[in-house]
Amino acid sequence: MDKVLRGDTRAFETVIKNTRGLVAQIVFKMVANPEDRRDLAQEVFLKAFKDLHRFRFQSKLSTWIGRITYNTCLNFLYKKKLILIDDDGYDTHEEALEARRSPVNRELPGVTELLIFRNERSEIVNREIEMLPPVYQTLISLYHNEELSYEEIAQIAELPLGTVKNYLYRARKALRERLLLKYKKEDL
Amino acid sequence: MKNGHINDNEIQEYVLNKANGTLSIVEHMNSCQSCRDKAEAYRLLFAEIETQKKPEFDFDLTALVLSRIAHKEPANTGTDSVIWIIILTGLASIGITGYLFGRYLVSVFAGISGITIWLVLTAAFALALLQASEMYRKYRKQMEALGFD
Repeated sequence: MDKVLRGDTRAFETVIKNTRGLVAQIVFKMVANPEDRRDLAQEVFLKAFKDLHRFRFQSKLSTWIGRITYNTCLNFLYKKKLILIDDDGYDTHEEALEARRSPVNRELPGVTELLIFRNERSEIVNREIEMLPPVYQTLISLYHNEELSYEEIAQIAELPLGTVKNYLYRARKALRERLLLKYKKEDL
Repeated sequence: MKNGHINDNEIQEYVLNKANGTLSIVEHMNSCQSCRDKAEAYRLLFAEIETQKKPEFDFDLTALVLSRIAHKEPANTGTDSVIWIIILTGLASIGITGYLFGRYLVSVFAGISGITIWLVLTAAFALALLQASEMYRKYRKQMEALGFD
C-alpha cells in the first residue's frame, strides 16, 4: 500500500489494472474519437500517478481515479465546446417536439412494443444510449454497468446527490421514450 | 401522484427496489395496469442496459502509461525524513537517559510493590493492544479503499 502511495511503478501497474475498466467506461461514454480516448486515458493515469500522494482515503481509490477521469473528459469537452447536457435528452429541438406530440408518448404502452424488438433490442438500446448527451451516458453506465451507488457517482461527478438522481431519472425516461418513439417510426 | 398515477422517478425507484417498499407505491402498482406496464418497460430497459458489452481500450494502456512514467520520480512528500528524524531522536533520548541515569533505575523500581509494577505493565500492554487494533482497523480501511483485497 505504501509503495502505491509513494508512486512505485510496479504497484501503480496494479492500480491501472484495477481501475482501467472504470476509466474506459467513462472515457468511452464521454468521448467518441478513438485518438482522443487514447490520449485522455493516458492523461488520467499520469495525473493520478503525479497526485497519488494527495489521496487521503476519503473515498475508494477507484472513485478518486474515476473523478480524475470525469473531470479530464469534462475539461476536454468544454474545450471542444460540445454540449454536455440538454434539457430534454433529445438531440434536436424538432425531435423533442416530435416526442412530445407523439401519441406513443401519451399512451406509453411499453411492454409489448419492446418485446417485439427482442432480437434487435440490444443493438437499438446501444444506439439510443449513444444518442444521449455524454454526461447522461456516463451516469447511466456508472450506475447500471459499473454498479456504483448514487453516492459514489456523486463523488465521481462532484455533483450533489439529488442532481445525480435527477439526471439519471431524466436519462432513463428519455431513453425509454426514445425507444418507444423509435419503434413507432419503424413500424409505420 | 399526478392524475392518480405515480411518476416516472418513483416507478424507476420501484423497479430498482429503491422505493423502500413505500406502501402507497406498492398499492398503486398492484392496482394500476398502466403503471405496471411502464414498470415492466423500465425493467426490460435496465436489463438490456446491464447486458451491454463493457468498453475496452484496443491498446495496452498499462504499458503505454508505464513507459511514460518509467523515468519520472513521484512527488516527494518528505514524510520519510521526518519519520527517521523522530525515530532517531527518540532512540537518542532513551540512550542518553539510560547512560546517565541507568544506575538509579533499579532503585526506582525497588521502592514499588510488585502488584503496582504488574498493574502498570498490564495497563501498558492493554494500551499497546488497543493501539495495534486501531492501526489494523485503519490498515483494513485503507486496503479496502485501494481495492487491493
